[in-house]
Amino acid sequence: MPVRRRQPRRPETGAAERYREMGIGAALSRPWDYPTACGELAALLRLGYADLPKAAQALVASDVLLAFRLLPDVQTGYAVSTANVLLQAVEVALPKQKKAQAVSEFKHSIIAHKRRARVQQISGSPHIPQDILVHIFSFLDMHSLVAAGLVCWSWNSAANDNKLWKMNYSIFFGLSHLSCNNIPVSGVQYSTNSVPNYPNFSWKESFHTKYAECASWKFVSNRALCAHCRSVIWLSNLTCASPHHCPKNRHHEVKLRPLLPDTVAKYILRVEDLAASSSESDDTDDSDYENWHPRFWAL
Amino acid sequence: MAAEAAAAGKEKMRTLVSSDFKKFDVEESVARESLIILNLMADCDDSDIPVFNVNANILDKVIAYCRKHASAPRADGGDAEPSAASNKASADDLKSFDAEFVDVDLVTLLELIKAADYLEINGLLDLTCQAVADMIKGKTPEEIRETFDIENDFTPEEEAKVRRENQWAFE
Repeated sequence: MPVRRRQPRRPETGAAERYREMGIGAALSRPWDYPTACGELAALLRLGYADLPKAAQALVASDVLLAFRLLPDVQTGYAVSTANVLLQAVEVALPKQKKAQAVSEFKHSIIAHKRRARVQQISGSPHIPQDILVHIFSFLDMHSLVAAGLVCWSWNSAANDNKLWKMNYSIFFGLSHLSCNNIPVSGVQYSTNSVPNYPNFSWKESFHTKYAECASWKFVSNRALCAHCRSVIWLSNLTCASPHHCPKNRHHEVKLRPLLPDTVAKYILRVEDLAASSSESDDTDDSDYENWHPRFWAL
Repeated sequence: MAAEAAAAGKEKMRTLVSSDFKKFDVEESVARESLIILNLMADCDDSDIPVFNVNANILDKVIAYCRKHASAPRADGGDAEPSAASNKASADDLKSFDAEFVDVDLVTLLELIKAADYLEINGLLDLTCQAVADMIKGKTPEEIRETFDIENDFTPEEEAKVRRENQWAFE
């Protein structure tokens, strides 16, 4: 009977380094990235916490506790629901002692969260002029911009501002592929003030159409990968005021692809590094892109 | 340090007057952070500069912001190149000042935005707008209304229509 050799353990640094590289711990302290970070932690626990080396396990376990500890500060429904998803993953994956600690932390946090939600007092806030609202909204990511448009009529009007949606279009898809006569194209302009308004052309509708064409965006994801420079981008940081300035993109062709929590978890669990794919040429087309790093392609 | 203080002492001072008629003496270099005040200084000679859209409480905060940012080393300023370490320390100091500066209640934050907009202090406008945007990010429309104490003025039919039209972003 042949002797079955045990698989050699992965190098201690590998998974831990990749975990740090993904910045999940730091994301937990940003209320808008908290749900994504919780989702990624849950995916990591589900897909292979036991396979991680000890150093990476320690990092993950400590971030799970941090996630529950920070829950009262986040004060959003999304946060509570993703913390519940994380709790379910904790109950399945963590060893007894760590599980007990995490569950206890979660219970305390939920109580604190409810208490804080009750205490929160609102004082009537002054009216915000429309031009200032538009400027504020230029600091929002696309999903938050859409949510802001559902608040009231004046916010809806500001959130549908054509300049904002032209900026979002250029951030997600670039403008270089547009060449129709009725579509104003002047390269990617990164200042909302310098993007003129085109009353006859709805950039939001164009964004919607293009977004719907990309099946991979169907899953609401808060991370994306740039096909040109291979950097992982938090979509919540991708705003009109701070677009992704890609060092390798010479033609203003934007190629962002969403990263789902499972994809991030699988990347952390594997040995290969992102750098392995960076030798690829800059003029990769979409079909090549899907193959260049299968783990980082949200199918 | 003493030389710096002496130099600061020599610097010309200007008086700003808030909407509630409180007077603030500020260094000219600090007042210059506002494009509006910069233009007004040319018109007002040595007389007081009225800032009648901003109350004393807010103007005091705006001046504190301008003072901190006016004293920060600029990339283009000075003959001697500051070391990378001192540059980083200064940037970190400014970052923590800014974070503390916007850690105020919502009403104050919105008043600061209006003041920055009126006075044309672009750095302050961006800082405060970013802080408000951070209060919106990642929230549902209901949570945003609660945070900003906004009345939902959509009729149920209008709200259903607007939600339907924007459903694509949340699928």
